Parts: sequence; structure tokens; C-alpha cells
Amino acid sequence: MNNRSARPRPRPSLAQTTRLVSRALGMSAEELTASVRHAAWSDLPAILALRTRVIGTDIDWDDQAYMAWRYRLGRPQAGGGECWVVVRDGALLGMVGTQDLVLQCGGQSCPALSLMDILIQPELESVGLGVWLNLFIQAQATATLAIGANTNSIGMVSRLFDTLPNRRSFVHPVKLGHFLRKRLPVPGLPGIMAMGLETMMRLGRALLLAPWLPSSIQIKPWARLDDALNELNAQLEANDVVHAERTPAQLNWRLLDNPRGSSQVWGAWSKGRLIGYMATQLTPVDDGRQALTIVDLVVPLPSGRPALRALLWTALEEAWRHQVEYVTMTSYRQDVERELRRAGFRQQAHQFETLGWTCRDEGFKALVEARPDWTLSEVHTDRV
Amino acid sequence: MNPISTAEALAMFSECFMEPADKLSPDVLRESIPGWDSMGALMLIAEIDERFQLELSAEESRGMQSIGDALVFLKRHGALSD
Repeated sequence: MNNRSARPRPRPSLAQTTRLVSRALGMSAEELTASVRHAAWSDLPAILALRTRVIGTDIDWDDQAYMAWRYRLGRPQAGGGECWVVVRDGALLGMVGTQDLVLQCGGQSCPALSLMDILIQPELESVGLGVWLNLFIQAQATATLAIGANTNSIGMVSRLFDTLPNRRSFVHPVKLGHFLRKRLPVPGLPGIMAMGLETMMRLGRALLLAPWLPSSIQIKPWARLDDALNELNAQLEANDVVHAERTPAQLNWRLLDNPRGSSQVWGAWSKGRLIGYMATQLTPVDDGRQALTIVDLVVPLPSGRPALRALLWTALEEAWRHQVEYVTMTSYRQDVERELRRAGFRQQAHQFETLGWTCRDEGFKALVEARPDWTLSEVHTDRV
Repeated sequence: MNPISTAEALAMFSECFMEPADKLSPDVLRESIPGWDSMGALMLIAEIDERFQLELSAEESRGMQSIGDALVFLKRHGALSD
């Protein structure tokens, strides 16, 4: 399986889109290009107002704290990327967010921007400003990524980016009561059946995974990531994957300081050496129920297979301890997925687990397209 | 300007909206065409601009509720031959 990106569909050029969008906005092409810039802290009220207009108020997080956390907004040491705004005569027309990434492949590195948070004032719908912003960012960066999509963005992602095979979503059921109650409307019976099946599943997991867990591996909660992670990055260089570099500072920011939800980080250690790491997060489902999401999981393979199994075991035990409904993980790495299936995870169809990218460095692009596996995860999206 | 036939117009819409041409007819509603989103709308604006040097404004684009409306726009501006 290669990963050659598909680009069969005609896409508009930046020059053409600049001309059409500026015309629709009553601006010159030069004025439109000059109207886009990195957002400053003083733009935050307008950004929050735009988000309220587009997203609404039915959100379960403090949006001001979230935006202040995610983007630099003129503060060099803050955030993980830029919020780009289009401003005309002091009025915010639209925005797009980018997260900084460094892709590593075949011994080379390439800076990349992952795009997210494209929001346009509703009265400017059909002008094409969102399309233009995507193309504008693509022209600024060596590489761009569009990880995942929704009903509003899937058309743009499929036409403006070179599309790679979809990411794969996996799920492992833990609690079966809700599922059975919906299908067996007999009082009492679903609860008894669920208890029996859940116990059997737990025993099955123990039989499948436990014999393969060497005592030399210790899985320990990691309160704050540190330089030990850099050694893990170095071990991954031997893996034939496209690696999205993780630094301790970046992961501490992304996983532990996120106002939308903090993760639990786990390190897999052997003889004092870090051989794998995983981040999990409890996420609400509905009716007060919860799921456990494996937000990130990095293990050098094949040497780290025992560590991977031990980390998956830990995730499933955590899920049981918290009595969550299920465990989910999105993957783009086939060797990891084999272990997920072995541990009882099942792949589920998900039309929005798309992956699109652009790369202006043809040499690096060829290296990436020769490899089907990436270490991308939910940590590179804004979903958790 | 070189006017085109209705069949050619449907083929053009098919390209813009990534929808098979045989599924497009005047009575097909915009809401039933997944590709007639903001991206599809811009593709239509770009195509009409390039082929006919006509300006389809964002307001007119938003007002189109069916393939028939798009055909009426072309007819009104002399871009449709039949």
C-alpha cells in the first residue's frame, strides 16, 4: 500500500480565487491580500463574537480561555499556532487557525501548518472567503494539513488538498448496558446480560493481552512530559513512518494545559528508558455517560510491541475503572492497528476521518507519499 | 460569449459540484446536492466567470435553490443556446 495522494479534481488557483473573492467583497486583489494578518490580543473580542455567531452558544467550554490557549494572538510564548484574520475597515470578515507541526520522514524535516477553525461571517457565505483563506495559507507554508472534516468543510478539503487515504477510527466496547437496553426492552434482563458479557470481555482481554506483558515494562502516570520524550522521537527515526514530531513543551501545552479538557499521560518505561507513551482523555458521550479516547500513542515498532500492548492494557483497565461506555482511537499506522485489533478493537466507518495535505517541497513530498503510515493522532486535531 | 446547450450546462454543473451529470436536471434542489456547498458555489462562480465573463454575485449564488435557477441565470444572460 503506498500513500500517493489523489489530486484528480480541478481546483481553483489562488490568483483566480483572489480576483473573484475580492470582486465579491468590493475590494481590489491587493486590498484583500493586505487584509489578512495574524490576530493580535485586541482581536479576541471580535473573534469570540464571530465564533458565537457561527458555532452558537451550545458549547461546554470557556471559549475565551480556549482561544487564548490555542493561539498566540501576538504573544510569542503562548499558544501552539496562529489565528489568521481577515479584517476590512476594522470589521472581522473571517478567520482560520493553524497549528505548527514539524513532519519528519526519511531523515528529513519539513515545517507544516495544520488548518482548523475556519469561520466566516454568515452574510459572506457563498463569497468564497473560506476557500481563499485555505489557498492563502497553502501559499505561505511549505506544507499544510487538513486533518478530519465536517459536513461544511469536506468539500473544501477534498478539492483544495491532495487527499490521502482516510484515517481509521477504532472502538472497543466496555459497558454494554446502554446498548442492550436499547435492543432488549425486557426489565432487568439487559443489566444481567451486560454484567455477564462485560466480565467475559474482561477475562478475554486478560487472556489475549496479559501473557504478553513482560514484567520489565512499567506503565506509570506522567505528570509533566520532559526530555525523556526526545529519546522516543529518536527511536522513531528507525521506523518507516511519517512522524509528526512531539516535543515535551508542545505536548504539555496540548495535553495538560488545554482548558477544554486535560489528558492523563502514561509513560512505558523499561530499565529507566522511555519506550512508549500514551495520552488518554475522558470525553462525554450523552446522558452523563463517558468514553475514553486514546488521544495520542507513540511507540517505536516492532521493538516496542510489548510496550504497545501494555499501554493498550492500561487504557482498557482505565476504561473499566471509570466505567466508560467504550474506548476509541483514531490511527494512521497499520502496525499499531494490528495490535488494536488483537486487543479487541474494531474499526468503524467514519466518513469525516479525512486527511488532506499540500507540500511545495517536491523531494519531501515524494518521501511522504512512499510511506503509508503516519504518527498523526487526535493530538493534532482540535476535537479533544 | 459562446452560448452552450442545456446538456453542456449540466456537464459544467457536474464538474462544479462533483455530482454525476445524469443526476442533474432543472428540478433537482440545491439541498440534495452535497457538492453545492461553499466550495461548489465558488467553483460555479469561477466557471461562469471564465467561460462567459459573467459575474455571478454572492447574493445571486445564495439565491439559487435548484439547478433550474442556475439554468435561468445562464439563459437570462444569453449564455444558454436552447
